[in-house]
Amino acid sequence: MAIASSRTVKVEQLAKHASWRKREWVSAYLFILPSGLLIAAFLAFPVIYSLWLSLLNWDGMSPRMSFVGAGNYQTLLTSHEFWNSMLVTGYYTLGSVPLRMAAALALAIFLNQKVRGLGIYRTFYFTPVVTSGIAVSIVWLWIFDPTWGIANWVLGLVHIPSLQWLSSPVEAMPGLILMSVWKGVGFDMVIYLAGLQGIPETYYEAATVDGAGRWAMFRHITWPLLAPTTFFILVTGIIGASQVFDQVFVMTNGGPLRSTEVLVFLLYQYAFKFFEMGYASALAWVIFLVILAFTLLQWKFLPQDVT
Amino acid sequence: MGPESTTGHVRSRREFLTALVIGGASVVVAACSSSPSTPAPAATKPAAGASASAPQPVPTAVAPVTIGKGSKKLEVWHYYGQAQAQPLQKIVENYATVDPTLSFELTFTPGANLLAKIQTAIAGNAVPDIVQTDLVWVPIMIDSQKTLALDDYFKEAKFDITDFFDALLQYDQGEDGKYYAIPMDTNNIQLFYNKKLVADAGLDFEKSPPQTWDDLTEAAGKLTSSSKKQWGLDLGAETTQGAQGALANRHMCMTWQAGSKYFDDKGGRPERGAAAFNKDGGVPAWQWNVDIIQKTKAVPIQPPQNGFVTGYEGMNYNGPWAIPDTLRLIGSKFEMGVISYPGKTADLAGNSWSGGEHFQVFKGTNQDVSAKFIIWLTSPQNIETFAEQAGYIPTRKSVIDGDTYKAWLNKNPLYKAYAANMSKVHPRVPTRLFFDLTIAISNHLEEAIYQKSSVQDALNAAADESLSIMKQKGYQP
Repeated sequence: MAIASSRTVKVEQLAKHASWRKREWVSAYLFILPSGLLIAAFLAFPVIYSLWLSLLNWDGMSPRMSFVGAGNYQTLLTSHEFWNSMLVTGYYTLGSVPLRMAAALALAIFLNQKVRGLGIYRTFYFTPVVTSGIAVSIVWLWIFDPTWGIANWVLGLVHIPSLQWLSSPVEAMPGLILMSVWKGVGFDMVIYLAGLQGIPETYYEAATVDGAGRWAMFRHITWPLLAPTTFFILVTGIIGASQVFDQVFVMTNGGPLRSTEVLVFLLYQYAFKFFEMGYASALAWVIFLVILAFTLLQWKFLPQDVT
Repeated sequence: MGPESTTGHVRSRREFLTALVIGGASVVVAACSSSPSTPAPAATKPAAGASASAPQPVPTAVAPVTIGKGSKKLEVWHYYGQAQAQPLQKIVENYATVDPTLSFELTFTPGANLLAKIQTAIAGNAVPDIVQTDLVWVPIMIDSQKTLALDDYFKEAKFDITDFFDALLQYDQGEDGKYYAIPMDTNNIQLFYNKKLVADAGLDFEKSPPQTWDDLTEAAGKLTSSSKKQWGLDLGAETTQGAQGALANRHMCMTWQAGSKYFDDKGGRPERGAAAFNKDGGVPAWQWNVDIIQKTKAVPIQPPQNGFVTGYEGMNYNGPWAIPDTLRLIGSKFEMGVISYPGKTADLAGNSWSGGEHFQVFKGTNQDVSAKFIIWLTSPQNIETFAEQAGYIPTRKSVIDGDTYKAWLNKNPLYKAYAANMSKVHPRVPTRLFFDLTIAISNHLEEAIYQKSSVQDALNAAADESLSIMKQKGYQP
């Protein structure tokens, strides 16, 4: 009898526990429901819908819509302008990411010292990051003005002949890269600063005792311990550079002679100028796959201790 | 991996990759559906983008304006900047006495963003009742099959659509012959000049203005001074700020100024057929452009920012929309004048494309009252009031020829050349392929400007690509 009673209590306890667990699950799902709905509506659905669109021929407005399967991808991969944009985007990425990282590291090391007015310097270098990309691009249009822009004035001070900047097929992309480095260096700098401040001071003290110089300390302590930070900046930098748009839209419109026609600008043109939403969506997915492939490659080939 | 990894809190590779995949995909795909902000171009430049007649976009958001107290609200989307929006609001206020049951919500969107917004609204079935469109958008809107044919409403209201300039109506009349839009204002392109620089160069444009391209080359050469950083003529940015479509727009003007067609007629309607710009007048027209940039060196490939208003450009190819801002920026520095843009021969001077804004109605529950409203809005009296107050050119022939508007022109002589040349305006690709064709053509025109190919080769390549685009998009030239 006692055993039976004890069993009954146990079963009741288990049932209570199960019920409580169930309620907990329901509560948990209710709590995440608002976020889940938002993610589904504004992230998952558009992503899946754009994949569907990429299989269609549709202008985004008219009722005419036809299924073309992989036709948009086939056209894309055989188009000269797509491969030109790939090269242009690659050029921009290769030009801007390493330069931005190097400048950011140098600035971070400088601002990691005990310098008077440190807060002012940090604010100064970070300000372009939080300034509107459109506004910044307009200012740089003036800076690059071949007739009376500051850029040519500075070159003149060191006896370098004036450049045509944005109106030259050769000089337009370096101009965009220069502006982008200026605009984004503050962000990388802050990340590097955080990385630098995470390195224990004792390592440097020990190295000093061992007679290491500044360069040796940088090479054997700072740089290796910043490797995860560098990897983060590299990956996010490449992703960001692959999606560059604002400055191209405002400053060059992809010209001259398509020398700055980056992938996302090409996508914009197809979506909102030529009204080819299917083709533009296919392009969006190809851009995504390219970025993903590069990220995986970096992951695979960079030393494991970095990641 | 973030800096926290140095202290041991390393995120897993899978988490990091997952975040990258989701983030990367969403950002890239989001680029398909978001429209970028657009800067206000320099006051003396034709507006950015392929549509050179677009107004100066205002980059800041403006709250919708509600007019009237009626219970039925009509939603109107427009891109008029403040100088044009205020006269529009005053006119709309008068409609409250015509139909007190209505109220209006006027929502401003910068011109560079409005077409993308309309596109999104159509896809999302969330269109307004009435929309103001750049005239080159009208065929695209008609093609969406979401806008209302107005012919029955014209009959009911005894509305004389033929009073509007035919070049403007070419956009509004669909392939089915029905009208889907009404022109509100218009413009064209003529020549601003700096009276002081012209006088300093020993020229007198009031007595003997340049009338031919040769005259223009000569005048531009005299007005150019490299030591003063002064340019003879500003033809707009070649490669920046919307240059892509702008080059074709300019080439069109000059082809007509050479007495030729840009595209052949189709079914008796102009500029809708196969490319004609690679023969006859189109070739010398673009050769003149290349020569004045590369040989005479009187036109900059990239004009100096605000070069005309600061007194560093003798002449500037521009439209009437830029006059108010240009005068404001010039201040008391010098006086400006406006003359007809020269032609290959003097009798062809002033030929230009037609620009401007039209109103359209979306199909829906409010379509009848909306159609009646835009018919009222574009009455001769409202067209004249709006043109005078907003600084645009009237779209109706009866208004331009009327005594009151002529009296207004006498008080505002800078607009005379634009009004006088309305009889010489042409439609520029009044089909749904406007952007496809003008951007493709501009890319080839740019090759000639940079001397990567001869003018004839560039134009032939542009003609071939135009034909290919038409075929690909199911358009019979």
